[in-house]
Amino acid sequence: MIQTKDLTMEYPNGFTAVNQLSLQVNEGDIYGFLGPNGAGKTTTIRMLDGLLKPTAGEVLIQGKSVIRNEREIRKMIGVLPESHGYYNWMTGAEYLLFFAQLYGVSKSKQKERVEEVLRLVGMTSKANIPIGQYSRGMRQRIGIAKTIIHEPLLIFLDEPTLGLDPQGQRDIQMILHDLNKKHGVTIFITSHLLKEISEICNRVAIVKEGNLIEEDYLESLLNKYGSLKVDTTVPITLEEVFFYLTNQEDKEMNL
Amino acid sequence: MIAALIGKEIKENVFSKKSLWIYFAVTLLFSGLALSFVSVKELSLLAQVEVNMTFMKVVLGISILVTIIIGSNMYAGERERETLESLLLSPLSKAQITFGKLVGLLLFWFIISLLSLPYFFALSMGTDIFVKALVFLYLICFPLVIGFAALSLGFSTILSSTKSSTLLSFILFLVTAIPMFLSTAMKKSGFAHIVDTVSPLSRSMLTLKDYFVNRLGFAVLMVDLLPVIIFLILSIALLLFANNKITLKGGE
Amino acid sequence: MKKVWITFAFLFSFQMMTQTGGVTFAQDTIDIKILSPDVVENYPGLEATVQAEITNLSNIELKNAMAYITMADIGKHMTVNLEDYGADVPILLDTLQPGQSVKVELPIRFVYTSKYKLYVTVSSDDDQQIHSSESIPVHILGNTKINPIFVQIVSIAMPIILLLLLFFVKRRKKQ
Repeated sequence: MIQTKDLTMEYPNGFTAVNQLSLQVNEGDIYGFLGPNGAGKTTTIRMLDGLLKPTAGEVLIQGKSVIRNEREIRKMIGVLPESHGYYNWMTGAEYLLFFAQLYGVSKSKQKERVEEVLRLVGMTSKANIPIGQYSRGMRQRIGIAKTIIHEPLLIFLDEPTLGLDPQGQRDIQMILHDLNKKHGVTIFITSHLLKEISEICNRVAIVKEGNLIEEDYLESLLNKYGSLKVDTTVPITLEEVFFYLTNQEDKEMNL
Repeated sequence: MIAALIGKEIKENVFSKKSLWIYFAVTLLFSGLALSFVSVKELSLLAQVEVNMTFMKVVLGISILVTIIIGSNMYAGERERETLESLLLSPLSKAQITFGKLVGLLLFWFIISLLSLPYFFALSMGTDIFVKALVFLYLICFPLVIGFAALSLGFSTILSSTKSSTLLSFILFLVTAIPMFLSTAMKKSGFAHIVDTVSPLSRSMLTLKDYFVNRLGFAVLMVDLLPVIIFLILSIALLLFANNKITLKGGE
Repeated sequence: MKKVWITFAFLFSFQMMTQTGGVTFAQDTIDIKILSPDVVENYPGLEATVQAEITNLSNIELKNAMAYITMADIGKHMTVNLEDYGADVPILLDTLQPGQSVKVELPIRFVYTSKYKLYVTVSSDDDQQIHSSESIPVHILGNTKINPIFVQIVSIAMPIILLLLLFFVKRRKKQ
């Protein structure tokens, strides 16, 4: 589904945000992209969705170059950016209808599709309330609904549960799980919540300072680093692997 | 697809509550001026054509000023509200997004110009000035309006804050309006003369006089409008340049 | 006593002489006649050309002479700002040779309703005196077809309509 080769983003001031990143995301994956703050996660997503042009390397989605097939790719993908604003004066339904029109959903299907995604994210009863009156959790749900309004094959979610309470996080996880399992949507997700990632992702990549330091199926990753753990009676968690890998250069860390 | 964006811009900028307040304030201004034409002794002694010319100057000045303030908000506002990324990620090209916004902005100006028509109708009663006002407003002056709209939208695209883009658009508008604050003697030489010769606003006022009072022909009006046409071309060039520069950095 | 009378007579005659000399000095070196129009009585917006003949009566050449219109509003007892009338630009005559006579045409557009005195003034670098023609009467009659009642109705109705619209929108949003 997604293939990158030596993807690099170097800013004019010499700062390398992403360095020779090579990834492979398969169809049906829920791919967790992890890294501490400033690791280059948002920059990577922006290169993957075609918003930023890499200084080197290439991104292919369904075998097509993102830069050369911009419009075609955009109809294929959905993106929920990290800092995602809303038109507060619109109601949830109006907002979704606007994006349905923007993405060229046929006029006869627009209303039906809006109702469908509202149902999917559990926002049908709140559809006619202005977004300005929504809670953060409701906004995120509408954001996800907007991301899938045009039935994309692949969605990018940048910190979708940031700032949500445990119930809100759980609800979003359920929605994503449903999208992946019932609707076959491939998901590329970044999150600080490692427990959440380990619960929903099947593959994980860990980046630090723009460099890919580990990438594998979640199970393989846990098996690989599980043997390093001193206390083998308790299974290793993704959180422990993440801290081990991201702090390895700074200090020796015991698992 | 682009119709959806234009529709959104219209709802957001042309028929929003904020816009209605602006229209209300503008009509208050128009009303104050129109009433002064029939109540202030000095103004009531003016020839009818002068009355309409003065009113036209105010209509143009106010409508352009308000339009550039709205235009300065269009991209920078989306950036500040963090809604720009979703727009840029839609299948619309940057040029289409900019075009949609420009259409919305021009519609906003159009509504203000519509609000001025009842006043023109009342002030031009018994003469052919109303038709002339329509021709001037919607044909002769339209390049000037598009120019200022494109300019403010361009600034809004390049600058990331609404404050900066509004300020820059406002300053530029004031620079073009400098000749209006200067005496005839000052406008005859030096820097003021140059500004007066090249200022699109100043040239539009000259065209207004040549059309309303001097009743000069199309060729002369075109010569008068030459700096306005150049201004329009430069503004659109700036907008196209700015359009290509729309980007979001990583983590922004 | 006789000496006193002689001195007085001398001083008196000297005074008379200098006075006569003064009159000679102040004699107009330039003659200005307005050829047309003789009188203006019309409505605002009238565009006219004032034709005047300017003659150098002196025996010296007058350099950088210029002619311009001046107007006094006799209704308000003040001079007018000729910029409003499009008559603020003088006509440069360059050098006027002794005895030379030139005709000038000065455009003006009457914009305000009132009664005026219009005259043509000439000045030159070589002459400290400013010379003016005799004035012609100008009467600009009020002709505006503006119906004040209609203007008042529009001016009051427009903001009220918008205010009602705002009220309507606010109410609809609340619902």
